[in-house]
Amino acid sequence: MDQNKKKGMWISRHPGESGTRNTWVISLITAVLSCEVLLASMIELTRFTDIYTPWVMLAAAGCTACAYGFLIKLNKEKLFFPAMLTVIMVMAAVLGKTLVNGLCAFWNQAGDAWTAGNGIVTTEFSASAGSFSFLAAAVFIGMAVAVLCCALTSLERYAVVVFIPAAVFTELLLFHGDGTFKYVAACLLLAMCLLACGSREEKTIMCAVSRWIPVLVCCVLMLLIASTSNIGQWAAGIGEEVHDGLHSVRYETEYTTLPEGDFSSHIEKDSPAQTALEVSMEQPEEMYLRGFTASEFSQGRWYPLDTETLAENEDLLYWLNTNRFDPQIQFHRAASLTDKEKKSKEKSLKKVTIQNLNACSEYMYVPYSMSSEEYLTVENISSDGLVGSGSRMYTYSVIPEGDGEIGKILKKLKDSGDEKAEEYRQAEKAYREFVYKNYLSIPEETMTRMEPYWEMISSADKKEELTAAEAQNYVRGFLEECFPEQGEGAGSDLLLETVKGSSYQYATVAVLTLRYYGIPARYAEGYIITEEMAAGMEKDSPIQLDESCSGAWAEVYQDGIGWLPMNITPGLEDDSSGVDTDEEDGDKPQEIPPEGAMKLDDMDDMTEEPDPDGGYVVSIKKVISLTLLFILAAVISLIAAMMIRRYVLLKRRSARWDDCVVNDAAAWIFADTEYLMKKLGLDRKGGSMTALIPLAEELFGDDYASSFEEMILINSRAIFSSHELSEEYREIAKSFYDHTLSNLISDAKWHKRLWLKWVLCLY
Amino acid sequence: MIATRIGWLLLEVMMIGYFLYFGSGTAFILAIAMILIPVLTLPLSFYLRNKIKMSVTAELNVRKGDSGNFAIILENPTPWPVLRMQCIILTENQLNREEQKFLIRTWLPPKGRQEISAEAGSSYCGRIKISAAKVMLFDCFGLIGISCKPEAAAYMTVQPDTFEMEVALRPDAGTNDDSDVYSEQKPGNDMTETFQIREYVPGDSMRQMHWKLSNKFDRLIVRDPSLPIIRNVLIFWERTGETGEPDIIDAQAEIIVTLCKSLLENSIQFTVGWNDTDRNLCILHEIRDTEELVGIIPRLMRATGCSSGVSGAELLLQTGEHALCGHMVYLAQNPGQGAEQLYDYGSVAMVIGGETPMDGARTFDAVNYKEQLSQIDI
Repeated sequence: MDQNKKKGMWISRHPGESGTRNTWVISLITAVLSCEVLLASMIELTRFTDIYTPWVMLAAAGCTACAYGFLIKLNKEKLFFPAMLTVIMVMAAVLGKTLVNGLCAFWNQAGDAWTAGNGIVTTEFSASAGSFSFLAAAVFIGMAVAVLCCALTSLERYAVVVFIPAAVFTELLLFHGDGTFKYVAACLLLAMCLLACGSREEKTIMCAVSRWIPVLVCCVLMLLIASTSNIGQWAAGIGEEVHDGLHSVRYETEYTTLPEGDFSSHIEKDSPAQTALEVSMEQPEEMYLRGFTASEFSQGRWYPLDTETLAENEDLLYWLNTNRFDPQIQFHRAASLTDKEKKSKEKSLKKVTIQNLNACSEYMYVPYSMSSEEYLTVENISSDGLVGSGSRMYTYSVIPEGDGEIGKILKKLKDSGDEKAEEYRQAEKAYREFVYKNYLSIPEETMTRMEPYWEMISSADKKEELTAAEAQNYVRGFLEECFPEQGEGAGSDLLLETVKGSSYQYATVAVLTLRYYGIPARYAEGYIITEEMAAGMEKDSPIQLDESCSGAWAEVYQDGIGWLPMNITPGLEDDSSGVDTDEEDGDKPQEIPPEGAMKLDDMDDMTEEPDPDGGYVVSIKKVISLTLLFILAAVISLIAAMMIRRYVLLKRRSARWDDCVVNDAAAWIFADTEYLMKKLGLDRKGGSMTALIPLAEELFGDDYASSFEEMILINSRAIFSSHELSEEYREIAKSFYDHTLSNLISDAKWHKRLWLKWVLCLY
Repeated sequence: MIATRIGWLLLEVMMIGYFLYFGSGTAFILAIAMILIPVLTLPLSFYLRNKIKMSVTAELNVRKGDSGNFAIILENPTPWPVLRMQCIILTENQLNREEQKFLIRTWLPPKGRQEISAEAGSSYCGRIKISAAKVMLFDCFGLIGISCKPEAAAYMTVQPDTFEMEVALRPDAGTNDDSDVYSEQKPGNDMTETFQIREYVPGDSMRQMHWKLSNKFDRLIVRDPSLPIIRNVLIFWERTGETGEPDIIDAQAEIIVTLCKSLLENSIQFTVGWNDTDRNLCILHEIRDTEELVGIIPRLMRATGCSSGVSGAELLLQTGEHALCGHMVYLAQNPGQGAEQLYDYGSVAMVIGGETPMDGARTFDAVNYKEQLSQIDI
């Protein structure tokens, strides 16, 4: 009998007791449910819309998990993982390229879903996947996820409790899901039930069921009660507030004023204006520094173009970007194409330096005439605004007095037969179509409210039959009537009463009116350097822009040129804008047709339609670098925590050893030494320490054994004797501890030494 | 339960994360449910804490090194289930104070019972007390525990092994060993009383020859003398002065039981005694036969020792003077105060297992005690 060899008392539970009965059922349920929930959420978020592939994937995972459960029942659990590894390897070897093609196709599909959520284009693999490839990949992925879930189940049920919600949480973060995601409830309920099950050693199926009942009853009842109230909306509101809060913490300061399209909580601050931007210009001039731009107006708020739409046009936008056509520098591109003396043009570019002190740093503040390309990222297909990602100091080049040249540029562009100009016209046409498709919408609710006013202005004419000039006249007329220079016009009551009379309201009404008359427009916020301010500026000396310089304006898509502030757009400039249109070139506003690029369309006929193919992005550097940073931060935190823990434990131990009376100290030291000895294989297992002396002698020699024997006696005296030991014994005990520790360290490999030092904190 | 609690905390944090970051109403509701469920099940735990019944059964005797079975029976007479229950079962060797704790996590169905079987044993003799040190009722997540105290205990005696020991009573002039009670089981050496008459077998002493009967029956007849049963022996086990080493305690227990057995084999009735260190009492038992010895062993096996305090010898002199005999065996690890005064009352065999030297004492150690004490003169 084994126990005969043991020293001391033992106690053990009988094998096959009720505690271990039926645990295979719980393991089976855990494995099946966890892999199914995980896969189902993955399928939903990555939009595998194939009719049968998701079902194959779920079935493969279910079968794998069931096999795991039954192997546990047969006590052959150990066979599962080697067997599955073999199956997966055989599958990979036999199917080879077919499987790779299927996996690539899955990756591409997931990449598309990711782009739709983030606006970032992912690396795509070329894959000629047939239905069999999809099937093979579905089975492969299903089995792999199931094996992962089974491994976690076999490790510890609590691991699954944490892993499943964490995995779905990560999926939601990656694919920009939201709180209404239906698998949130499933995965959280599953996690709660598994948590209630307890660890695998203890429970029978009846025990688990008895715990699931109150959990499920309570949760279902609460969910039912909640479904009758507005909790969903309220929670969504909280979610938005948290997002706004995070945005505010990350990019804003307490003096940031621009509302970024959200006027619900916008208040004019009474406190003295703080400097938002500090701008230095090589050649001071009037400038509209746009930051936040938006295309969709919904429920009284402006939103940037949604990533779904961008993802739908992923190929087009990526193709445009790779062909150096970016809406942010479109004006510069057009201007450079029409200027034959390129070198002199490059020389004439003027530098602008922005120091962002209190403005939102998520965006860069740039004028339409910006020419620097270094801030444009190819893989980011977000078309509205230039993402600054927290940068607060940057320099870029602009074309000076760009607005004055608009007419000339348009004319030259039209006449140019240059190959590059033709390429540009081709790209511009593709982008123009995208703009006309997405920047002309007016929400139904707003249309219902505003249409009577618009019709009052243009009632005699049919909207569709208006020429561009007429449309522009109507727009100008409508805005003048709504927002007269003196007194209160009708516009103040139209929309956005929370920001009544402000530039935000004006810009909103202007954008919607422009759209109503068929002119693509978008909403922009930022800072304006007026002509008067520019006149007072010195070259390269900074000018400070505060709240008084902030505001919103409408931007109009000028065919052939790009997005221009309304005051600069030919035909829509007001008298105060100081736009110098070149009448000689015939660029009078009335003559500009609305459908685009005046007669550029005639030139388009000579070119082929763009054939965007999507192309490949080299890497998703940002995601990887962020992940690496996160991992680095986690590792540093872990190391710091370990160092603090070690310091505390060693200090505590040192206090026990040095500050206690000798008897207590000797007993503590012996207890600590005993722990070390366990690590050395000298484990008394509840028995007598004396019995270990022969083994100690065999392993570490006579000296160590005699010290050990002496130490046992000292410990006995320390514990049982009422007489206090002398200080000498403390030192003897310490020296024995050191001796044991040196034995332990000399025997251990480097990784074990690290473990002993940093995890167990033995020295 | 720590793992469950950490799991609960992580899950709760994740749910709050879901709620705050994604604005998920579902996550918010479930996060509230995670807190409410333990709170709502609290009254149930309070109700059940006084209703749960617990009992422990165990084998009475086991040999050293063998395992004995015991069972913990938990009963729930209520119509509500005990969702999660944790019992810490404490097994304590009352002789050497060695303890082991054993954790049981279970549940109880409504109007149901659970029987948890286990086995325990020891390589040291002693009486093992099996009891519930702590019983806690928990909610289904194991967060809030309500303790209940169902009193239940069972005892299992790990019997000491015995060894070959020859005990001889040393004649002492100052001691009156006369007895008018003779053994009926075995012959002795008191020629004044005949044990039995039988035929001569080679090797019998000539002094035993019954000449008259031999002559009458015309064959050699011998007479066996009787064995007087002496009641002038005290065996005392000093329990004060223990260093707590289980090996030496075990050796002492074996020595004392072997000594008792050997004395009984020699038809020497005796008194066995020890000092109860918890209550400072001197406990004395007269042993007349093996049955009485077997009956006293469980009590002997829970004679807990201590390192310091009033010695057993002192207690014996103060309260048990009537039990002092002409022949005494004083067994101790370290002789207590007053041990030397025992010499004043008769012949004392000091058997000492520790390091404290004592004149005329027989010493032994935890390893070689069987050889060292194979023969004792009292």
